[in-house]
Amino acid sequence: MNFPIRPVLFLLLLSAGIAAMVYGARYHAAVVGEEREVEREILIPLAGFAPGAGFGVPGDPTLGPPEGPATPDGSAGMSPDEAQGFMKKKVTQRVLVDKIVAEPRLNREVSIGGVALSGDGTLLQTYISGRPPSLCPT
Amino acid sequence: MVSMTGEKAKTAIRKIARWRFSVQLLSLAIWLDPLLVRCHTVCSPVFHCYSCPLATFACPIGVIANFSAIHMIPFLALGTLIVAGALAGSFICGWTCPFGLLQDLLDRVPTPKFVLPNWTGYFRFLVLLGLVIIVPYWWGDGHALFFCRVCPAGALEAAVPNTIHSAMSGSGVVWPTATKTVILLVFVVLALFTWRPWCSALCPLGVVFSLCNGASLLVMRFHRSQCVECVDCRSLCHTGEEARGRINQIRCIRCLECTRCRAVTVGTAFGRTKDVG
Repeated sequence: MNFPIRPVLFLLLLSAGIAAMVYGARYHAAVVGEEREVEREILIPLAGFAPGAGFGVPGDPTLGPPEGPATPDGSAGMSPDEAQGFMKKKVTQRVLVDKIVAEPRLNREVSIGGVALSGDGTLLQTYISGRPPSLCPT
Repeated sequence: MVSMTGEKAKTAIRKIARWRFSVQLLSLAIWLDPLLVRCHTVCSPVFHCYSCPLATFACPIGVIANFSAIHMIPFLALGTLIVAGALAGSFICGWTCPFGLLQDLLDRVPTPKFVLPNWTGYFRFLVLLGLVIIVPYWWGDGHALFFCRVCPAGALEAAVPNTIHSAMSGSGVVWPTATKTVILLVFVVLALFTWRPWCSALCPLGVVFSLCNGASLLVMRFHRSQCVECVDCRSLCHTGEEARGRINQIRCIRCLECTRCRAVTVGTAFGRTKDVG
């Protein structure tokens, strides 16, 4: 009696395929570093403040462009922070947040070039959160 | 009685074979996102670029290449291909692939035809291993030979429509890469003179399904006792292959043209294997 190799191969292939699909859809995920823009309030020492000249030390790149309220004219009452020599300022910062992305979502991300491998072997999202590219880079 | 049953099955297969073009069109309607769902979390089993403005599912080859570039195994895409291959093998290529349909339409243009030699089918392994897996793994998706950068389906279904769309909408035109556009043009011209040149010689998806042909649920069967050695099967087959001993050969797309020969039928993996080659 011949060994029924064809049905066995078919069943093995089908089982392997279904197992791979279930594993990929339900359990397989990757950690992706996502760059997010967050708005924060920071305290700036008033010592470096001159009316009409903006905040911060001129040319200080760490502070970024002034995006907070316009330069106060000094007529308003002083807040507790100001009383202590600090001024609150809203700035937008980009922070890297690790998130776990399931394989189905990764499928969609790679279709727009949304995930790339960084030099140190970690995965990074290529766009700022909420602003995905509409097309793949190729 | 047995032969009567066989004749009835044969007639049924011939009737089904006549529906191939209709099934291809119906499949195209499914892949072209008629409900605008853009379900790109899931792969389709066909060669259809996910950057196409009308693409229901993700392209499995694009997903495999991109996952290779980020050093991950695409279980979902591989599982989809293995399940589709296990159930139907190369029937997927012959009956549902949109890029195959385009080449079939070009093949209908009355021009002098030539047949590509069978060994060209082995280039598909090189494309699959080289351009889809090794190049992306070592050099990432920025390399000029990254598969999506040379894919003619991507040029036809995504680059060209998106360029036209951006031009019509007045936004900045992003021209498609010259490489893939030239490759598309070459294969469009070739398809006028030879049957399915992309599928025959370079398609990395077709090679996955052709590897499953021997073990798929639906299999082509050649009945040795029915063969009268007329070799008509060679003229019936688009790839010019003789059915005897080559019935599930790697370039077969299961178009069922060869079932016009009395010795060739379609069976299942669970069918009888006596007298079958």
